[in-house]
Amino acid sequence: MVNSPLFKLDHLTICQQGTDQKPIIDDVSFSLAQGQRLGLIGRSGCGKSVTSHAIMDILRPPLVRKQGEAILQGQDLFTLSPVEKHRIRGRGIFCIFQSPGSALHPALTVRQQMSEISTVIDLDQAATSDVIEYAFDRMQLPIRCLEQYPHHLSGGMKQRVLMAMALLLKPKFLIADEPTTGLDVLTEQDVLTAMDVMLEETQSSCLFISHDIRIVKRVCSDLLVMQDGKIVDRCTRDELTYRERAETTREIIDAMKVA
Amino acid sequence: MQTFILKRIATAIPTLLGMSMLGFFMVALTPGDPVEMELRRLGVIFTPDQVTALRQEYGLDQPIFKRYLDWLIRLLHLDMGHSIASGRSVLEEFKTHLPLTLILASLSLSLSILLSSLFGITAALTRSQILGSFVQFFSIFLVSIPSFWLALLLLFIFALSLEWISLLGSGAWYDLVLPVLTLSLGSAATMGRLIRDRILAAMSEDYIRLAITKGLSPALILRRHILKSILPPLVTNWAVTFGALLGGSVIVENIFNLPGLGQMALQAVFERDFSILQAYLLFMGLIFFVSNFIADLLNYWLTPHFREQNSSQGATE
Repeated sequence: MVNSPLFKLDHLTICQQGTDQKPIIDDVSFSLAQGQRLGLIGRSGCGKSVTSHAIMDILRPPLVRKQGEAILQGQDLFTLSPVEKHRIRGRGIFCIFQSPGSALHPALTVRQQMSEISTVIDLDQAATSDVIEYAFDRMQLPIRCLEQYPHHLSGGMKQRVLMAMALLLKPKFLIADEPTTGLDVLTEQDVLTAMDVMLEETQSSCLFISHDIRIVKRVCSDLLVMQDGKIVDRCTRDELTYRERAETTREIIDAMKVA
Repeated sequence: MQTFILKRIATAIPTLLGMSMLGFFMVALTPGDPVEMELRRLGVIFTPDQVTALRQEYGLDQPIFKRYLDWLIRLLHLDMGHSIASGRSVLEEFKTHLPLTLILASLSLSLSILLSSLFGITAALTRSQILGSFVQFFSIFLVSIPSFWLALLLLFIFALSLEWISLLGSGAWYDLVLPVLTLSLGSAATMGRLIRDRILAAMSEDYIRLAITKGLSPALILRRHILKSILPPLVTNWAVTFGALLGGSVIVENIFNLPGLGQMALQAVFERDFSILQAYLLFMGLIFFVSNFIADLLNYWLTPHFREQNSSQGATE
């Protein structure tokens, strides 16, 4: 990497407050170049999602950050004031969560949840409305979905609504936390295609979290492998198959071969 | 919407019938003969014949089930009989006493909502340990002290020590200040905790976290996302509280000497004024029913996801 990275996580350590147990996230560091798609892979419960929550600074108590820096374009996200934090969220850094079923507000229509983004991207209502329709078109979502409530939409559609939000926000750094978990294979393809379209357009750098190496290989150029809160392996997509890998990585690859 | 309302009304009929029975029989079967009480109160020396005649006049010689049915039929014509003590119709007695109690309960509910929102939201948003424990302490304190004791405490402070308010009342609007405070402090404390807990629970919902992640301003997240998700349980709580405040007015009205429904009811107990009591019990049941019904309607409108699940409409995809 020649130029300085867009995002850099340094020595992130997360503990459970009030206990002396070993850290949930143990000294995790990585960096992301402009436009890079980095995969974070590991078994369920190894700390992938906690890492993403920590970067967004929305850890659920009793989890607390013991140390670490998250530098986005020279700014440490962890030391920002609350006002600066909410300013950098959305356009600077955005996160598509696992479980789209609960990610959208059940009592607000899709349009309400899309158009409130206008307050973040400084567009008036009319312009926002146009952008929303454009984004829905790109995500191959029918316009009528806008007037519906989230429970009307299928899992894949909800996930694509989240992608459409990313299209509006054009975040510099996007975290996608298991966006295809719980979807059938065909829907998964739709969502991944939509994500390609979205990333192509937003030019966001992406941290893609998954437990599924098949998908990570499709989306990402580089990989991190996590186990028990530690990064145990780093490699590029092409190195995966033939280089001598860490045990966890091999286990994950083997698991995929069996499946 | 229509089917929902019709369904609710249909299920309400047995409930209301049950309430009317409970109200009627509870009063009718309690010991103490209203006729003898009445005659004794008048200070007349009465013969058994006179008692029988009066009992006939009030219909008390009829079998109890027939009395219930007669009462029910008359009730449908809004005829709830006459007060033995005053001789006026029960409807008239209600017309005289109800407005004050309604005002008292409405003011108390409004103040409770205001105070509890203030405390609940501040305690939740600052996540301040000190404020949190303060609210918690006060809510436990206020919930556990009985309202008559709080009423006396307030009277002691404001009427006797500070002498800001006359102990006897002056017929002016500020007579309502202490009763409203008495009624609302306790419920405000419970509600404040409810609001705080609900907000904190909502904050860890994925959709609120998405709203935060989107970069929306905290004010917008609170006003729109959090409020929309915590409002349904609050509305239900407010409805129940309103009923409880109307019922709680019995104690408060008697301590502060306000001629409302509560005072009327207590007097009716002392005088064995059974038509008033039966109507009062039925009315309280009705209020609980109506306020819950309104709460359900509001919640039906507030929660589109439950609404449509109930009307068995499938997803579009």
